[in-house]
Amino acid sequence: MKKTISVLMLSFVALYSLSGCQSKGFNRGELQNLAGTKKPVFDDNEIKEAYKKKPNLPKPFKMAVYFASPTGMQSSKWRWTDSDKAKIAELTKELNDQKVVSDVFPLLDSTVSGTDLRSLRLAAAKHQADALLLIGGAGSTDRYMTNWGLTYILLAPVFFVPGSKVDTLFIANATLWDVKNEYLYLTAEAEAMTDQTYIGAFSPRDQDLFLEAKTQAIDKLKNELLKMVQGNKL
Amino acid sequence: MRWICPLLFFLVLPLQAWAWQGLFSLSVSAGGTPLDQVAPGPEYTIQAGDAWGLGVGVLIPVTDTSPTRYEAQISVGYHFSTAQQGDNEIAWRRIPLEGVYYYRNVEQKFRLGWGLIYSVGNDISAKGSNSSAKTDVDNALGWKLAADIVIPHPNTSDDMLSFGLHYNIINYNATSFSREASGNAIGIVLNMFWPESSQ
Repeated sequence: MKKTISVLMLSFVALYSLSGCQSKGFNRGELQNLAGTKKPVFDDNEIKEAYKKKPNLPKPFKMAVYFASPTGMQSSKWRWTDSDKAKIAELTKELNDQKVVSDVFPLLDSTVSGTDLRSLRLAAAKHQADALLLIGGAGSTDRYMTNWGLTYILLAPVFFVPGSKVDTLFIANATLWDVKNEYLYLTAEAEAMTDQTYIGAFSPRDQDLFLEAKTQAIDKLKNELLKMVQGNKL
Repeated sequence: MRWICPLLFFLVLPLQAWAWQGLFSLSVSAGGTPLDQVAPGPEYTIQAGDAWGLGVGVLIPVTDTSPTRYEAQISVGYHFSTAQQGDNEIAWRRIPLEGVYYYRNVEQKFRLGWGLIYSVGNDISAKGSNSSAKTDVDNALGWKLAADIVIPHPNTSDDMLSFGLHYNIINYNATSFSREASGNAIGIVLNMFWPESSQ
Protein backbone atom coordinates (compact mmCIF):
# COMPACT_ATOMS: atom_id res chain seq x y z
CA MET A 1 0.00 0.00 0.00
CA LYS A 2 2.70 2.51 1.01
CA LYS A 3 4.69 1.47 -2.08
CA THR A 4 1.64 2.15 -4.29
CA ILE A 5 1.17 5.58 -2.78
CA SER A 6 4.89 6.35 -3.14
CA VAL A 7 4.87 5.35 -6.81
CA LEU A 8 1.81 7.49 -7.44
CA MET A 9 3.33 10.48 -5.66
CA LEU A 10 6.62 10.16 -7.57
CA SER A 11 4.77 9.95 -10.91
CA PHE A 12 2.82 13.01 -9.88
CA VAL A 13 5.95 14.98 -9.04
CA ALA A 14 7.73 13.90 -12.22
CA LEU A 15 4.85 14.88 -14.49
CA TYR A 16 4.38 18.13 -12.60
CA SER A 17 8.00 19.25 -12.75
CA LEU A 18 8.32 18.37 -16.44
CA SER A 19 5.36 20.56 -17.32
CA GLY A 20 7.34 23.77 -16.91
CA CYS A 21 6.41 27.43 -16.53
CA GLN A 22 6.49 29.56 -19.62
CA SER A 23 5.13 32.75 -21.07
CA LYS A 24 3.06 32.48 -24.24
CA GLY A 25 4.22 35.84 -25.59
CA PHE A 26 2.31 38.53 -27.48
CA ASN A 27 0.67 38.63 -30.89
CA ARG A 28 2.00 41.98 -32.12
CA GLY A 29 0.30 41.67 -35.51
CA GLU A 30 -3.11 41.42 -33.88
CA LEU A 31 -2.34 44.35 -31.58
CA GLN A 32 -1.26 46.54 -34.49
CA ASN A 33 -4.53 45.72 -36.25
CA LEU A 34 -6.45 46.72 -33.15
CA ALA A 35 -4.40 49.92 -32.75
CA GLY A 36 -5.67 51.04 -36.11
CA THR A 37 -2.83 50.20 -38.49
CA LYS A 38 -5.15 48.86 -41.13
CA LYS A 39 -4.02 46.30 -43.67
CA PRO A 40 -4.60 47.94 -47.02
CA VAL A 41 -6.89 46.44 -49.62
CA PHE A 42 -6.06 48.18 -52.85
CA ASP A 43 -5.59 47.86 -56.55
CA ASP A 44 -3.16 49.55 -58.98
CA ASN A 45 -5.57 52.45 -59.66
CA GLU A 46 -5.62 53.32 -55.99
CA ILE A 47 -1.83 53.36 -55.94
CA LYS A 48 -1.83 55.73 -58.92
CA GLU A 49 -4.39 57.95 -57.20
CA ALA A 50 -2.28 57.98 -54.01
CA TYR A 51 0.75 59.18 -56.00
CA LYS A 52 -1.30 62.05 -57.41
CA LYS A 53 -1.97 63.45 -53.96
CA LYS A 54 0.28 66.30 -52.98
CA PRO A 55 1.08 67.89 -49.63
CA ASN A 56 -1.13 70.83 -49.10
CA LEU A 57 -0.53 72.22 -45.65
CA PRO A 58 -0.26 75.94 -45.11
CA LYS A 59 2.34 77.22 -42.68
CA PRO A 60 1.27 77.26 -39.92
CA PHE A 61 -1.69 74.90 -40.16
CA LYS A 62 -4.71 74.10 -38.04
CA MET A 63 -4.74 70.58 -36.65
CA ALA A 64 -7.59 68.48 -35.31
CA VAL A 65 -6.69 65.66 -32.91
CA TYR A 66 -8.80 62.53 -32.55
CA PHE A 67 -8.20 59.76 -30.03
CA ALA A 68 -9.69 56.54 -31.42
CA SER A 69 -11.59 54.79 -28.63
CA PRO A 70 -10.81 51.11 -27.99
CA THR A 71 -13.34 48.62 -29.28
CA GLY A 72 -14.39 45.06 -28.50
CA MET A 73 -12.53 43.35 -25.66
CA GLN A 74 -10.10 46.27 -25.46
CA SER A 75 -12.87 48.67 -24.41
CA SER A 76 -13.28 46.97 -21.03
CA LYS A 77 -9.58 47.20 -20.26
CA TRP A 78 -8.48 50.75 -21.05
CA ARG A 79 -9.56 54.15 -22.29
CA TRP A 80 -7.86 57.43 -23.16
CA THR A 81 -7.52 59.51 -20.01
CA ASP A 82 -7.11 63.25 -19.48
CA SER A 83 -3.47 62.57 -18.65
CA ASP A 84 -2.88 60.95 -22.08
CA LYS A 85 -4.55 63.87 -23.81
CA ALA A 86 -2.49 66.30 -21.75
CA LYS A 87 0.73 64.67 -23.00
CA ILE A 88 -0.31 65.12 -26.63
CA ALA A 89 -1.36 68.67 -25.74
CA GLU A 90 2.25 69.27 -24.59
CA LEU A 91 3.40 68.17 -28.03
CA THR A 92 0.95 70.45 -29.80
CA LYS A 93 1.99 73.36 -27.57
CA GLU A 94 5.59 72.80 -28.62
CA LEU A 95 4.55 72.71 -32.30
CA ASN A 96 2.61 75.91 -31.67
CA ASP A 97 5.72 77.54 -30.14
CA GLN A 98 7.71 76.46 -33.20
CA LYS A 99 4.99 78.00 -35.38
CA VAL A 100 4.33 74.66 -37.10
CA VAL A 101 0.67 74.71 -36.02
CA SER A 102 -1.49 77.77 -35.45
CA ASP A 103 -4.40 76.09 -33.70
CA VAL A 104 -5.07 72.65 -32.25
CA PHE A 105 -8.46 71.34 -31.16
CA PRO A 106 -9.81 67.96 -30.18
CA LEU A 107 -12.43 66.10 -32.16
CA LEU A 108 -14.99 64.76 -29.74
CA ASP A 109 -16.90 61.51 -30.32
CA SER A 110 -20.13 63.51 -30.18
CA THR A 111 -19.10 65.52 -33.27
CA VAL A 112 -18.13 62.58 -35.51
CA SER A 113 -20.59 60.44 -37.39
CA GLY A 114 -18.27 57.44 -37.78
CA THR A 115 -14.79 56.27 -36.90
CA ASP A 116 -13.58 55.66 -40.44
CA LEU A 117 -11.06 58.09 -41.92
CA ARG A 118 -13.52 59.83 -44.26
CA SER A 119 -15.97 60.56 -41.42
CA LEU A 120 -13.15 61.90 -39.28
CA ARG A 121 -11.85 64.09 -42.11
CA LEU A 122 -15.37 65.48 -42.56
CA ALA A 123 -15.62 66.29 -38.86
CA ALA A 124 -12.18 67.96 -39.00
CA ALA A 125 -13.24 69.94 -42.08
CA LYS A 126 -16.29 71.24 -40.22
CA HIS A 127 -13.82 72.63 -37.69
CA GLN A 128 -11.90 74.21 -40.58
CA ALA A 129 -8.85 72.08 -39.77
CA ASP A 130 -6.09 71.59 -42.35
CA ALA A 131 -4.73 68.34 -40.85
CA LEU A 132 -6.03 65.50 -38.76
CA LEU A 133 -3.84 63.75 -36.15
CA LEU A 134 -5.31 60.33 -35.48
CA ILE A 135 -4.13 58.50 -32.34
CA GLY A 136 -4.87 54.84 -31.67
CA GLY A 137 -3.72 52.13 -29.30
CA ALA A 138 -4.07 48.51 -28.24
CA GLY A 139 -2.72 46.42 -25.39
CA SER A 140 -2.37 42.87 -24.22
CA THR A 141 -1.32 41.01 -21.09
CA ASP A 142 0.53 37.74 -20.76
CA ARG A 143 0.16 36.09 -17.37
CA TYR A 144 2.34 33.11 -16.54
CA MET A 145 3.95 31.32 -13.63
CA THR A 146 7.54 31.74 -12.56
CA ASN A 147 9.57 28.90 -11.08
CA TRP A 148 8.29 29.94 -7.63
CA GLY A 149 4.84 29.15 -8.95
CA LEU A 150 5.68 25.46 -8.73
CA THR A 151 5.23 25.81 -4.96
CA TYR A 152 1.56 26.57 -5.54
CA ILE A 153 0.88 22.84 -5.79
CA LEU A 154 1.00 22.86 -1.98
CA LEU A 155 -2.00 25.30 -1.95
CA ALA A 156 -0.86 27.46 0.99
CA PRO A 157 1.93 29.23 -0.97
CA VAL A 158 -0.62 30.58 -3.47
CA PHE A 159 -1.61 33.06 -0.76
CA PHE A 160 1.84 34.47 -0.02
CA VAL A 161 4.47 33.42 -2.59
CA PRO A 162 4.92 35.83 -5.54
CA GLY A 163 5.11 33.07 -8.13
CA SER A 164 3.05 34.63 -10.95
CA LYS A 165 4.12 37.26 -13.42
CA VAL A 166 2.31 39.46 -15.89
CA ASP A 167 3.85 41.22 -18.90
CA THR A 168 1.79 44.07 -20.36
CA LEU A 169 2.42 45.41 -23.85
CA PHE A 170 0.78 48.59 -25.13
CA ILE A 171 1.22 49.86 -28.68
CA ALA A 172 0.26 53.47 -29.47
CA ASN A 173 0.36 54.92 -32.96
CA ALA A 174 -0.34 58.23 -34.64
CA THR A 175 -0.99 59.27 -38.24
CA LEU A 176 -1.20 62.80 -39.66
CA TRP A 177 -3.56 63.22 -42.64
CA ASP A 178 -4.39 66.12 -44.91
CA VAL A 179 -8.08 66.87 -44.38
CA LYS A 180 -8.64 68.03 -47.98
CA ASN A 181 -7.02 65.23 -49.97
CA GLU A 182 -6.14 62.44 -47.50
CA TYR A 183 -2.41 62.88 -48.10
CA LEU A 184 -0.53 60.98 -45.41
CA TYR A 185 2.15 63.23 -43.92
CA LEU A 186 3.58 60.96 -41.27
CA THR A 187 3.08 57.90 -39.11
CA ALA A 188 4.59 57.16 -35.74
CA GLU A 189 4.38 54.17 -33.45
CA ALA A 190 5.64 53.52 -29.94
CA GLU A 191 5.31 50.55 -27.64
CA ALA A 192 5.90 50.05 -23.96
CA MET A 193 6.16 46.84 -21.98
CA THR A 194 5.85 46.58 -18.24
CA ASP A 195 6.09 43.56 -16.00
CA GLN A 196 4.94 42.77 -12.51
CA THR A 197 5.37 39.78 -10.23
CA TYR A 198 2.46 39.03 -7.95
CA ILE A 199 1.08 36.55 -5.46
CA GLY A 200 -0.99 33.98 -7.38
CA ALA A 201 -4.24 34.38 -5.49
CA PHE A 202 -4.21 38.19 -5.74
CA SER A 203 -4.03 39.05 -9.38
CA PRO A 204 -3.73 42.71 -10.48
CA ARG A 205 -6.52 43.99 -12.70
CA ASP A 206 -5.96 44.43 -16.42
CA GLN A 207 -7.16 48.03 -16.11
CA ASP A 208 -4.34 48.93 -13.71
CA LEU A 209 -1.71 47.13 -15.80
CA PHE A 210 -2.84 48.77 -19.02
CA LEU A 211 -2.82 52.22 -17.39
CA GLU A 212 0.90 52.04 -16.61
CA ALA A 213 1.94 50.61 -19.99
CA LYS A 214 -0.27 53.08 -21.89
CA THR A 215 1.21 56.02 -20.00
CA GLN A 216 4.73 54.96 -20.97
CA ALA A 217 3.71 54.31 -24.60
CA ILE A 218 2.11 57.75 -24.95
CA ASP A 219 5.26 59.36 -23.53
CA LYS A 220 7.35 57.60 -26.16
CA LEU A 221 4.82 58.41 -28.91
CA LYS A 222 4.95 62.10 -28.06
CA ASN A 223 8.73 62.14 -28.49
CA GLU A 224 8.51 60.08 -31.66
CA LEU A 225 5.91 62.43 -33.16
CA LEU A 226 8.01 65.48 -32.37
CA LYS A 227 11.00 63.93 -34.16
CA MET A 228 8.84 63.00 -37.16
CA VAL A 229 7.32 66.48 -37.45
CA GLN A 230 10.70 68.17 -37.14
CA GLY A 231 12.23 65.68 -39.59
CA ASN A 232 9.50 66.16 -42.19
CA LYS A 233 9.75 69.96 -41.89
CA LEU A 234 5.98 70.38 -42.03
CA MET B 1 -3.97 20.54 12.20
CA ARG B 2 -5.89 18.29 9.82
CA TRP B 3 -8.55 21.00 9.44
CA ILE B 4 -6.05 23.49 7.97
CA CYS B 5 -6.37 22.00 4.48
CA PRO B 6 -10.18 22.20 4.40
CA LEU B 7 -9.97 25.78 5.67
CA LEU B 8 -7.51 26.71 2.92
CA PHE B 9 -9.87 25.15 0.38
CA PHE B 10 -12.68 27.42 1.48
CA LEU B 11 -10.38 30.45 1.38
CA VAL B 12 -10.06 30.01 -2.40
CA LEU B 13 -13.80 30.35 -2.88
CA PRO B 14 -14.08 34.15 -3.26
CA LEU B 15 -10.88 34.60 -5.25
CA GLN B 16 -12.17 34.18 -8.79
CA ALA B 17 -15.87 33.78 -8.09
CA TRP B 18 -16.84 35.41 -11.38
CA ALA B 19 -15.18 32.59 -13.31
CA TRP B 20 -16.75 29.56 -11.61
CA GLN B 21 -17.93 26.65 -13.67
CA GLY B 22 -20.55 24.21 -12.46
CA LEU B 23 -19.93 20.52 -13.00
CA PHE B 24 -21.62 17.16 -12.94
CA SER B 25 -19.61 13.98 -12.42
CA LEU B 26 -19.94 10.24 -12.91
CA SER B 27 -17.53 7.75 -11.40
CA VAL B 28 -16.84 4.13 -10.73
CA SER B 29 -14.24 2.86 -8.27
CA ALA B 30 -13.09 -0.40 -6.79
CA GLY B 31 -10.81 -1.53 -3.99
CA GLY B 32 -10.45 -1.70 -0.26
CA THR B 33 -11.21 -4.15 2.50
CA PRO B 34 -14.11 -6.55 1.84
CA LEU B 35 -16.79 -5.25 4.20
CA ASP B 36 -17.97 -8.72 5.23
CA GLN B 37 -14.54 -9.25 6.82
CA VAL B 38 -15.03 -6.36 9.26
CA ALA B 39 -18.78 -5.86 9.55
CA PRO B 40 -21.18 -8.27 11.21
CA GLY B 41 -23.49 -10.43 9.15
CA PRO B 42 -23.30 -12.83 6.23
CA GLU B 43 -20.76 -12.99 3.47
CA TYR B 44 -21.17 -10.52 0.59
CA THR B 45 -18.92 -9.17 -2.09
CA ILE B 46 -18.61 -5.46 -1.50
CA GLN B 47 -15.26 -3.80 -0.79
CA ALA B 48 -15.13 -0.60 1.25
CA GLY B 49 -13.89 1.39 -1.75
CA ASP B 50 -16.39 0.05 -4.29
CA ALA B 51 -18.77 2.66 -5.63
CA TRP B 52 -20.84 3.91 -8.46
CA GLY B 53 -20.89 7.66 -8.02
CA LEU B 54 -22.80 10.78 -9.01
CA GLY B 55 -21.75 14.27 -8.03
CA VAL B 56 -22.25 17.99 -8.55
CA GLY B 57 -19.90 20.80 -7.76
CA VAL B 58 -18.00 23.86 -8.92
CA LEU B 59 -14.64 24.44 -10.54
CA ILE B 60 -12.94 27.59 -9.28
CA PRO B 61 -9.82 29.07 -10.92
CA VAL B 62 -7.27 29.93 -8.23
CA THR B 63 -4.66 31.57 -10.47
CA ASP B 64 -5.21 33.26 -13.83
CA THR B 65 -1.96 32.32 -15.55
CA SER B 66 -1.56 30.54 -18.85
CA PRO B 67 -0.74 27.98 -20.16
CA THR B 68 -0.42 26.53 -16.64
CA ARG B 69 -2.72 27.46 -13.79
CA TYR B 70 -4.21 26.15 -10.57
CA GLU B 71 -7.85 25.45 -9.94
CA ALA B 72 -9.96 24.04 -7.11
CA GLN B 73 -12.84 21.64 -7.58
CA ILE B 74 -15.37 21.30 -4.75
CA SER B 75 -18.13 18.76 -5.06
CA VAL B 76 -20.66 16.68 -3.21
CA GLY B 77 -21.60 13.24 -4.39
CA TYR B 78 -23.54 10.10 -3.74
CA HIS B 79 -21.61 6.82 -3.83
CA PHE B 80 -23.23 3.44 -3.63
CA SER B 81 -22.48 -0.21 -4.20
CA THR B 82 -24.92 -3.09 -3.90
CA ALA B 83 -24.85 -6.86 -3.70
CA GLN B 84 -28.09 -8.70 -4.29
CA GLN B 85 -29.29 -12.28 -4.31
CA GLY B 86 -33.01 -12.50 -4.87
CA ASP B 87 -34.77 -10.54 -2.11
CA ASN B 88 -31.61 -10.38 -0.04
CA GLU B 89 -29.84 -7.10 -0.69
CA ILE B 90 -26.94 -5.23 0.86
CA ALA B 91 -26.07 -1.67 -0.07
CA TRP B 92 -23.02 0.35 0.96
CA ARG B 93 -23.74 4.08 0.67
CA ARG B 94 -21.99 7.30 1.50
CA ILE B 95 -22.00 10.99 0.68
CA PRO B 96 -18.49 12.24 -0.05
CA LEU B 97 -17.67 15.93 0.16
CA GLU B 98 -14.58 16.45 -1.97
CA GLY B 99 -12.17 19.30 -2.42
CA VAL B 100 -9.44 18.71 -5.00
CA TYR B 101 -6.72 21.21 -5.89
CA TYR B 102 -5.45 20.86 -9.44
CA TYR B 103 -2.42 21.90 -11.41
CA ARG B 104 -3.76 22.41 -14.91
CA ASN B 105 -1.78 22.54 -18.15
CA VAL B 106 -4.04 24.05 -20.80
CA GLU B 107 -1.71 23.38 -23.73
CA GLN B 108 -1.07 19.73 -22.89
CA LYS B 109 -4.73 19.27 -21.84
CA PHE B 110 -4.13 17.54 -18.53
CA ARG B 111 -4.43 18.25 -14.85
CA LEU B 112 -2.99 16.70 -11.70
CA GLY B 113 -4.65 17.10 -8.35
CA TRP B 114 -4.61 16.24 -4.71
CA GLY B 115 -7.30 16.83 -2.16
CA LEU B 116 -9.53 15.78 0.64
CA ILE B 117 -12.59 13.60 0.93
CA TYR B 118 -14.92 13.86 3.87
CA SER B 119 -17.36 11.00 3.73
CA VAL B 120 -20.61 11.45 5.66
CA GLY B 121 -23.90 9.62 5.85
CA ASN B 122 -22.05 6.32 5.56
CA ASP B 123 -24.13 3.24 6.11
CA ILE B 124 -24.52 -0.39 5.19
CA SER B 125 -28.19 -1.09 4.63
CA ALA B 126 -29.52 -4.61 4.29
CA LYS B 127 -32.78 -6.45 3.85
CA GLY B 128 -33.94 -9.99 3.74
CA SER B 129 -31.74 -12.65 5.28
CA ASN B 130 -28.81 -10.19 5.18
CA SER B 131 -30.46 -7.68 7.53
CA SER B 132 -27.97 -8.46 10.30
CA ALA B 133 -25.35 -6.65 8.21
CA LYS B 134 -27.13 -3.31 8.65
CA THR B 135 -24.94 -0.77 10.41
CA ASP B 136 -24.06 2.91 10.48
CA VAL B 137 -20.45 3.81 9.74
CA ASP B 138 -18.58 6.81 11.19
CA ASN B 139 -17.78 9.87 9.12
CA ALA B 140 -14.32 9.56 7.63
CA LEU B 141 -11.69 11.98 6.36
CA GLY B 142 -9.34 10.88 3.63
CA TRP B 143 -7.17 11.96 0.72
CA LYS B 144 -7.50 11.89 -3.01
CA LEU B 145 -4.99 11.92 -5.86
CA ALA B 146 -6.21 12.65 -9.36
CA ALA B 147 -4.89 12.72 -12.91
CA ASP B 148 -7.24 13.84 -15.67
CA ILE B 149 -7.24 14.57 -19.36
CA VAL B 150 -9.19 17.79 -19.97
CA ILE B 151 -11.06 18.48 -23.17
CA PRO B 152 -11.75 22.20 -23.68
CA HIS B 153 -14.79 23.66 -25.36
CA PRO B 154 -14.02 24.04 -29.10
CA ASN B 155 -15.25 27.68 -29.23
CA THR B 156 -14.13 29.06 -25.86
CA SER B 157 -11.26 28.36 -23.52
CA ASP B 158 -13.57 26.85 -20.86
CA ASP B 159 -13.21 23.27 -19.72
CA MET B 160 -15.87 21.05 -21.25
CA LEU B 161 -15.03 17.50 -20.12
CA SER B 162 -12.42 15.83 -17.99
CA PHE B 163 -11.73 12.14 -17.80
CA GLY B 164 -9.20 10.45 -15.58
CA LEU B 165 -8.03 8.22 -12.80
CA HIS B 166 -8.56 9.06 -9.17
CA TYR B 167 -7.12 7.28 -6.16
CA ASN B 168 -8.92 7.59 -2.81
CA ILE B 169 -7.10 6.98 0.46
CA ILE B 170 -9.61 6.65 3.28
CA ASN B 171 -10.41 4.39 6.23
CA TYR B 172 -13.84 3.62 7.62
CA ASN B 173 -14.72 2.67 11.15
CA ALA B 174 -17.85 1.73 13.05
CA THR B 175 -18.60 0.51 16.55
CA SER B 176 -19.77 -2.75 15.02
CA PHE B 177 -16.63 -3.21 12.92
CA SER B 178 -14.09 -5.70 14.15
CA ARG B 179 -11.33 -3.48 12.78
CA GLU B 180 -10.81 -0.44 10.55
CA ALA B 181 -11.81 -0.98 6.92
CA SER B 182 -9.58 0.46 4.25
CA GLY B 183 -11.57 2.25 1.57
CA ASN B 184 -8.52 2.80 -0.65
CA ALA B 185 -9.74 2.52 -4.19
CA ILE B 186 -8.86 3.46 -7.71
CA GLY B 187 -11.58 4.91 -9.86
CA ILE B 188 -12.43 6.40 -13.22
CA VAL B 189 -14.12 9.78 -13.12
CA LEU B 190 -15.88 11.73 -15.85
CA ASN B 191 -16.62 15.43 -15.18
CA MET B 192 -18.88 17.52 -17.40
CA PHE B 193 -18.53 21.30 -16.98
CA TRP B 194 -21.08 24.03 -17.54
CA PRO B 195 -20.01 27.24 -19.21
CA GLU B 196 -18.24 29.87 -17.07
CA SER B 197 -20.58 31.87 -14.87
CA SER B 198 -19.29 35.23 -16.19
CA GLN B 199 -20.50 34.47 -19.74
